[in-house]
Amino acid sequence: MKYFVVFGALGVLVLGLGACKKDFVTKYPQGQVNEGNFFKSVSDFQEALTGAYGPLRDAANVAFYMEEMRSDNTHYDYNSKDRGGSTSEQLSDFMDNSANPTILALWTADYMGVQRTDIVLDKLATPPPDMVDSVKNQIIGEAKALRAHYYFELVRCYGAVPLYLHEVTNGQNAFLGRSPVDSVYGQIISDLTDAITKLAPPSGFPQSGRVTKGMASTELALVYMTLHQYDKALPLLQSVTQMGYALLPDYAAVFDPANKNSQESVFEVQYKTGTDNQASQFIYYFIPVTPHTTNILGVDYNNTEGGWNTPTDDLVTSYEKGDKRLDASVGVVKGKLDDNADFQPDGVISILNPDTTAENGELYKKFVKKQFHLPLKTPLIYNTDDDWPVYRYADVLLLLAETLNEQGQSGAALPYLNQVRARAGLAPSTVTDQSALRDTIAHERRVELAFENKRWFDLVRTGQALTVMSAYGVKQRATLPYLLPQSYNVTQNKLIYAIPSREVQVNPGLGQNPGY
Amino acid sequence: MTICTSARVPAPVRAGGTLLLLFLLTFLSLNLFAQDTTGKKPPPGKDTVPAKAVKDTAKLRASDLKDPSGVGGAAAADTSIGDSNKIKITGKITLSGGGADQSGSSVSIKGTTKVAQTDSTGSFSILVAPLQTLVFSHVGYKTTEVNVDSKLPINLTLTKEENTLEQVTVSYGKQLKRDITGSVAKVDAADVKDINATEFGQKLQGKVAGIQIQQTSGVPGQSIVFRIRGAASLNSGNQPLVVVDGQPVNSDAAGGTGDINLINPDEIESYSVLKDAAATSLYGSRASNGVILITTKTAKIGKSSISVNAYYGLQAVPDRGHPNLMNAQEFANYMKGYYEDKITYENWVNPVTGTATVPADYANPGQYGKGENWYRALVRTAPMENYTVNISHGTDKVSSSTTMNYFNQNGVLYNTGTKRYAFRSNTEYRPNERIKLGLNLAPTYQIDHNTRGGQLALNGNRQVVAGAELSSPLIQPRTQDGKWILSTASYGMYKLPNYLQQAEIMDNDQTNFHFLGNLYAEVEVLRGLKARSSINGNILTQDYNAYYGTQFGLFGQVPPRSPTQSTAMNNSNNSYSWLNENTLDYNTKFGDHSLEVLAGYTTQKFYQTLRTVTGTGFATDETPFVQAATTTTGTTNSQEWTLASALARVNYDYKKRYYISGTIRNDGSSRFGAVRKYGTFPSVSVAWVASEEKFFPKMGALNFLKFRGSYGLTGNNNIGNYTWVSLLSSTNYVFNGATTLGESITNLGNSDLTWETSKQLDIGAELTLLHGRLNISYDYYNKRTEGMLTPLPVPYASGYESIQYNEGVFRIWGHDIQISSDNIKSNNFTWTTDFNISFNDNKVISLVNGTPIGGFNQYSDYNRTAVGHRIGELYGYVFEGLYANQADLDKSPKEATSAIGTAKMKDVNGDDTINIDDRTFIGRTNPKFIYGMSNNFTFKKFDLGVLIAGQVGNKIANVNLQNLYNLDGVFNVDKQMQNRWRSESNPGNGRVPRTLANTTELYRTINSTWVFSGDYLAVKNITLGYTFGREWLHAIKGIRVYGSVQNAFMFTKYPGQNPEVNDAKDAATTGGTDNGSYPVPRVFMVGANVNF
Repeated sequence: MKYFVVFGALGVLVLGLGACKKDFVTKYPQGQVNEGNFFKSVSDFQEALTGAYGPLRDAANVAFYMEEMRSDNTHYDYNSKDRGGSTSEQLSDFMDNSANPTILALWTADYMGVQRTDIVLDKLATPPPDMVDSVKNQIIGEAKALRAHYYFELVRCYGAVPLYLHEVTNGQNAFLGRSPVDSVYGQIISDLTDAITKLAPPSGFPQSGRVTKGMASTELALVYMTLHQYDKALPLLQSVTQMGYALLPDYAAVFDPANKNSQESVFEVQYKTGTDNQASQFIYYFIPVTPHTTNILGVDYNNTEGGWNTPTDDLVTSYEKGDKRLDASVGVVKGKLDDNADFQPDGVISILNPDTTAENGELYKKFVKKQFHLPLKTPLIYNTDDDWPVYRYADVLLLLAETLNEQGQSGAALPYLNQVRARAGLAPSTVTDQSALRDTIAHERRVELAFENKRWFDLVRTGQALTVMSAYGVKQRATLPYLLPQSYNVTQNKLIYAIPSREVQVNPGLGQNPGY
Repeated sequence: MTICTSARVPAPVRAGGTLLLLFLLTFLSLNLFAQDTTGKKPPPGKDTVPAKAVKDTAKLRASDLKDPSGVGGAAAADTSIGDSNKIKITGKITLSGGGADQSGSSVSIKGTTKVAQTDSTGSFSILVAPLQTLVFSHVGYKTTEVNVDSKLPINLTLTKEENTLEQVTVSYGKQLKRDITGSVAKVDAADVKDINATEFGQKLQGKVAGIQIQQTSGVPGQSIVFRIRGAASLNSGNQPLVVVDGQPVNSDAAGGTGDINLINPDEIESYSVLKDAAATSLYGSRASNGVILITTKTAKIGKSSISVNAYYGLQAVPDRGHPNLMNAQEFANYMKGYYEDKITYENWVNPVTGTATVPADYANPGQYGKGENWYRALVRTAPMENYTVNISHGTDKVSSSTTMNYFNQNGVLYNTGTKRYAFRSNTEYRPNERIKLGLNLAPTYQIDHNTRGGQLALNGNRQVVAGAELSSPLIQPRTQDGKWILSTASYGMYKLPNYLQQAEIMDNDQTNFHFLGNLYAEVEVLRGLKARSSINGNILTQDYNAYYGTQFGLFGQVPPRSPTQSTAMNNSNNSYSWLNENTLDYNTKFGDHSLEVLAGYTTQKFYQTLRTVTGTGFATDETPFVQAATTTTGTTNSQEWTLASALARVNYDYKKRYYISGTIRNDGSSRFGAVRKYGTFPSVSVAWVASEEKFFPKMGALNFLKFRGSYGLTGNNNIGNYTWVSLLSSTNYVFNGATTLGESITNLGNSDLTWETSKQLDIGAELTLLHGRLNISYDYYNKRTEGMLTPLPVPYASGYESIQYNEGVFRIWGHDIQISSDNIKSNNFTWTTDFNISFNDNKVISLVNGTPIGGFNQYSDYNRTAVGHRIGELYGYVFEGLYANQADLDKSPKEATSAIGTAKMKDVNGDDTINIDDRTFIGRTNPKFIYGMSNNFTFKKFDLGVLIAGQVGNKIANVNLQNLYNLDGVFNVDKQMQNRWRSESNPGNGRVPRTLANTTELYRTINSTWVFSGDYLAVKNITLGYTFGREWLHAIKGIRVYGSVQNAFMFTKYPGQNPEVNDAKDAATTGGTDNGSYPVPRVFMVGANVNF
């Protein structure tokens, strides 16, 4: 009997604790939102949509290597002391391969954006009960336009790519094969078309920075132009001219952070200086490598990341005399090498009146000025406020001119072209020959949109890439002794990049693009 | 009534309730027994234990022998004076092979409960009636009986028992070694007392078959990596579970309950290494990497002692293994050639002077001598010291042992070191025979000075050690008037700071406070039935402060920098873990049958809060704390995990000849997905002591022979705390010029996530030959791990990098052999040898989708785990020489940048071009076998021990060669670069490419020239000691003084400093790389052990 009491008590002890088990061994993170408690409210969906904008920045931070430095607009400042950047140089020199980390970075950024839009769109299958249709449509419109935007960059950089259109939830649906280029464009067109019906034009200026009907229409027009379907592009571009956009009077002011999301802005990637991780750093990439940036930026920083996207002489000399855009786009850093061959800058001078009284050994290094806005807010070093322009109204006008010209309406094209030229302080163009006007518009795009990641895609889109870049390559090899004879071997295969090697290793079904 | 009626009851309250209940039970059972004893009056513990069993065990526990009067132990002899028939017998018991301390033998009178204990010289005295028989016994020694027929002193020597009778700590209890059916190795702390170590792991190096212990670097207190029977997991950690007095303590980053590096080795009594599933499966989901049980020091009954151990040592980096760097003249000459080639092949013009001439720094190499050796400049001879006092006192009612320790090790790298203050008090109260109450308290405080990393660390790629190696030998650390020279780059070199200066101004310290406490009660509820309940607490607080001021520099950044960039950081965390264990243990014997049944229920919870605060912008370097910063950012977080488990064990034997044992544990863990929270881990094992059979020849060389076999399942739960659930992170964006909240899924969860399960088979044999002088054990094991917890690499196109999965299978197998031998046993001279060797190999059987893990990138991703290969093999290009001339270049497969005189890699996939797809497997990182041998000699009062350890068959990739083989003229480099290709007529040694711009990259990606054999044989320790006897000084029972050398000699083909190097430490999938690690010193020490 007594033993029974003892055993009984112990049994209760053991079993009693056992009763606690289930709750005891279920723990959710307290410091992090998790799927179990998200996608419940309208604001959850809005926050998830905001998250889908983030990869725009990841892409913009590296896109200039692949979309501008690849072209004849920019090159790099050869850095013999730090060869760690050689893979970025290879993109400019047509020496790149599938192991290139920048190719992987852009791919990853765009697909991260795709996935976040996929999640928002899939989860909207079961919207919160209090979500009204207007909110739902706005979210769908923005998400679809963003998804199309990410895919448009992917298809232009990599060709046929896998088409992820639904949320990835496990290892089974994480591995997809490639879809043909046509299917990718089909999806882009379908997403943008739907987005246009759901989105509204900007309600006022400055805009919020969100995707608008104007952005979706412009992008869809450019998609059609890339596919040479100018007839479909035309009404879209014309509709954009009815949405309240206008050119700012001063070209340089377009890029000033004080005028973010202005009347000229159709879409730009948003950044904000501060300690909350929203800042840009573009100017640090564009000025030369130097141990001390004080004489350039007014703040001291040991800039090891610089020397990229440097404007070429080929571009600078192509500006017409009196074009206000040259000085607004290209700056020059004057400086000297010290005994250790480190560049010590003396200051920034204008490209228009180089300081000819310079001492012996003075070096002039050109840099992209569109993200150069002083004073920088100290003590935030390596932290700037500049946005990255994606579509501007000037771009829309030039696309419109090009579309009209391609459809044989050269005369109708000129007013749009001349709007842009007038703002640059240039005389109106009177060229009406279709072919000559085509070249005029192409050149206008080159200088108007210089350093805005347009040039390379324009060359490819208009079929000029092989001839223009080969001729440019010959000049480059002749003037730059560090280039290998293999460089600037521009072939049809090099008009798209390699599928990143890591992706092919993980998912061998992807295969590799020819020539890589 | 249940203790826990609601999950809302705070867990410690539940645990406290459990203990309270146990005390009530204790009280109740005392009353029950009180009635029992009045009724039957059997002297407890006497009649139920057969005499034979007592002899067999040779272990006379004080409680078994106690005088029923309650006056026990040594005191019994004295208080009985007055019985005139009795005579006082004195004598001395010597323990064969024993050390300075000869105490602890029991002297009992046969047929009575009288017992006396010997003192540290082995002396005893006891009152005996004529014709009684004295029984002399000592744990691990043969029991000897002597009939008392005179008053003559009895002097005799106890000889060692076959070691199968040793008591060994096992999971949830203790067992005699001969009764153990699993694979367990025991190491007594006394046997490794001369290995003076910061971390206890160093003491076990080379001692136990089947456990690989690597000193991966010389970082004080943070360098030891364990691997029991090879790596068991791909990504979930391979460190064994370390259990201190029943309390798991491990340094798992995702909520480790403590830090094994903080355990003071001097408070440890013994180690048990549990290797197979039978031995470990009671630890269930945490057992598959093996378990190390640590038992801390407790007082012996009837023995009081004060002992002091002290040692002092000097550490120095041996000459062998220094990087093979160019001196100043060699470097200037190399750079002169570099620029000559640039002028010849690249039309190079010096941009500073505008002329095609070699820069002034290098134009005249003859002007330089040896210059600065930056590696030597960083290392120093550094002292280490350790003082431990142990006070121990044991009576039949109370055992108390207190250990106090001060340890101070300066690092051999400039301005580094670790100090530790440790305290442990273990007390057990035994109010009567049936109750034990214990309280162990062990606080430790450790200060790590500059060894915990930061923005600039000591170890690793381009950190202090590796960075210093690349510095220009043309530059001195200081100017003639003693000021620091800030940059160590000569003309055209990469921006390198002065790493010696950086080491000197380095200011990042971590303090660690670790508290372990155990409170337990054990009650013998019924005869043979013990209930035990314990609450174990574990508190860890770590606080890290760092400051990076205006003089701070790192790779690519030369000071000074603007005060606006000065940064102060504080990272800290507080964690607690409590563990409540409740077990019932029933032991019984009927006839020839013995049965033990154990059942228990345990719960554990870990909770941690953590925070980081960063301040930037400091007016002056004099205020290195965030308070003085212009901008402050910070974050806090928490994590927790819980584990609730039931466990049971049955041990049965028949005639101590046939054994069978089964264990089972069921774990529920918060770390796993809702679908599979619970896992069950059973094991079964059998043993047969063949030498007990009648047919077994009783005479002859073979005295003991046991065969055993086991099979069981164990798990691994080291996957972090919330990997099963998809996590969102804040992914903000800017709208309307303001930061707007965004949230995105950044970690894809997997609600099916559960344990990684290892199925392990072990077959072993133990035999004793030559009357205990030669002991051999052998084990074969074969482990199959299924449902590996591994991040499955998925395409980035999915939006993620990887998903945690339970997929994939691999196999580990091997052999452990351990031999110990008493070679020579004579009065003045003894020689013993212990040898062990372990063979181990593994193979990946399957992976999800067949997707390999790692090796995707040619820069920092040097290992690949793929089906059909071993885990984490080195993966890279195969170097085949240089393109000799145009004809060779034309006919050979080429890389995009190939030119005459550049590196030619093997076209592995045969597509006639060289690219990232031509990498292949270029070396296994796990050794084919590892071995250790210790030889111990005593000659009169001298003792000498020599410990050797080694490994054979593994490869090491010296990935720092990406810098030291850099041909861009930006670093100081390996001397071999002198023999590079200069022209077709001067092709150098044909192995080192030319320096032509834009062609050098391929040669500095991972390739076979970086891979070296890791074979080594090391004389790890040599110790010579001398013991002074008691006659020397009466107040002191014994003094031993010794001198020792650790890491005395290293014989290896590996050209680097340390063939045990492993930058990845624990991670099996990224092992075998040397990225410029903290050198491992040789240590010369002197020490003394004094017993009062």
